[in-house]
Amino acid sequence: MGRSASVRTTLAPQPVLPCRSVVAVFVGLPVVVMEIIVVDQVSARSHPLREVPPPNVQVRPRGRAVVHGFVVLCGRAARGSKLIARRLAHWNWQGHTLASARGCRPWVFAGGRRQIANLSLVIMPTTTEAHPWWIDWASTPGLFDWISLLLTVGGFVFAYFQFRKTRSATVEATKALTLAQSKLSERAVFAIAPQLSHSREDIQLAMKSGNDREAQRALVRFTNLADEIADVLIDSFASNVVLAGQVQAASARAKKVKYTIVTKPTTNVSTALVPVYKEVDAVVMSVDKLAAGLRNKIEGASNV
Amino acid sequence: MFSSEEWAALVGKLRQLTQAGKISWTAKGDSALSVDLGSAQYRLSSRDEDDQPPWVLTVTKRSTDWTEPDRYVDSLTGIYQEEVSSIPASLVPGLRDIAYRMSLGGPQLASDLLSEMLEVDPTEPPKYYGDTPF
Repeated sequence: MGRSASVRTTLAPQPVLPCRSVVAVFVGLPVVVMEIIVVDQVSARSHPLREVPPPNVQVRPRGRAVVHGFVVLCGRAARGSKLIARRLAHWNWQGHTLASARGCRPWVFAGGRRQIANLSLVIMPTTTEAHPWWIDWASTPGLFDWISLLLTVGGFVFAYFQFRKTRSATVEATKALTLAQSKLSERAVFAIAPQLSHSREDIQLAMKSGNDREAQRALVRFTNLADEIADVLIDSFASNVVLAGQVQAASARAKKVKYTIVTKPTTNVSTALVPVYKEVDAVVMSVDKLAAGLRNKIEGASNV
Repeated sequence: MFSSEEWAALVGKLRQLTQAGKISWTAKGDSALSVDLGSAQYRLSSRDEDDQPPWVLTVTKRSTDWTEPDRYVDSLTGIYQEEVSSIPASLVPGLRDIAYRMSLGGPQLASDLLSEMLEVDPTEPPKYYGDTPF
């Protein structure tokens, strides 16, 4: 288990708290005595680095729960605890470094160096530094941990692909809506264009008959149709601004002529209709041309 | 439904009341005007729905019971010619003009606008050359 494996040596360079030293002496001493009795010397002897480790150093882990347990290293440190601590960094126990075997960063207590250096070192895992409560660096992941990790990663992958599907679907929907809008506008043009032709013929008939009621009716009909197709052109055929303006101008003129015919009954209808008929004729031809172009357009192609 | 004489009487009375400011027309939409008077509603609107003349006077009988709809009575399309009582349709454009003017404020409208301008500048406007007597 390759976990963080640095043994933090707090021996010489850093000041050792006297109270900890006292605790180490009074708590550690009886423990040390006990450990000396029950310690298993085989592991230390059989270790390949047994030439290197400090003399008579023994390891006694207390329990698997590292947070609550502690490690007692006991023995005689002939050349001082600093040297022992330095060696501890390289010292192995059952194939692991000391720290990694415990899964923690031990505090090395060398309380009363002069007094107890020959007897013991107490290495205690700290619950404050090595084991913060909000995360567990130490415990080995179990089967369910690995399963949940896999599920989590799989969930993220799944969510990512769902997101991509959603995005592409949105793009497709936007395309389809745009296409549908253009189709609807084209159909509106197809529907209005022949009616415009008919209203032009109505105006022509009114010019021939000179009947003011017929003229009013034809002009109103043309005005309504022209306003409608002008809206369609402005909304959906941005390239036909000129045609839209032409249609709106013809509509306004038709309205004015109708006003004149209504409010001045003595007006000669045939004469009054001549200028508006010219404009209507031009509009009808332009709209017919537009409709023909749209009718022959191949789906998705431009200028076909 | 109404005879020519009835129409002439109705339009003439409406016009009299309007001119005296005794009924107030309400603007409906861009060009329509309407007034509720007694059990009837009178409405002046564009015949072709294009905010242009000819104007139509429509009479509607208002129902007092909410289970009953309002009843359309009759309508008169105005024609533009010399106003004569024998042709009541010729009275409608004049009625509409007065009703429109009264709905905007009537005789008060011009003085209101003038007082607003006098707030900006209270001095007298300049005299014109043609106004000066020689």
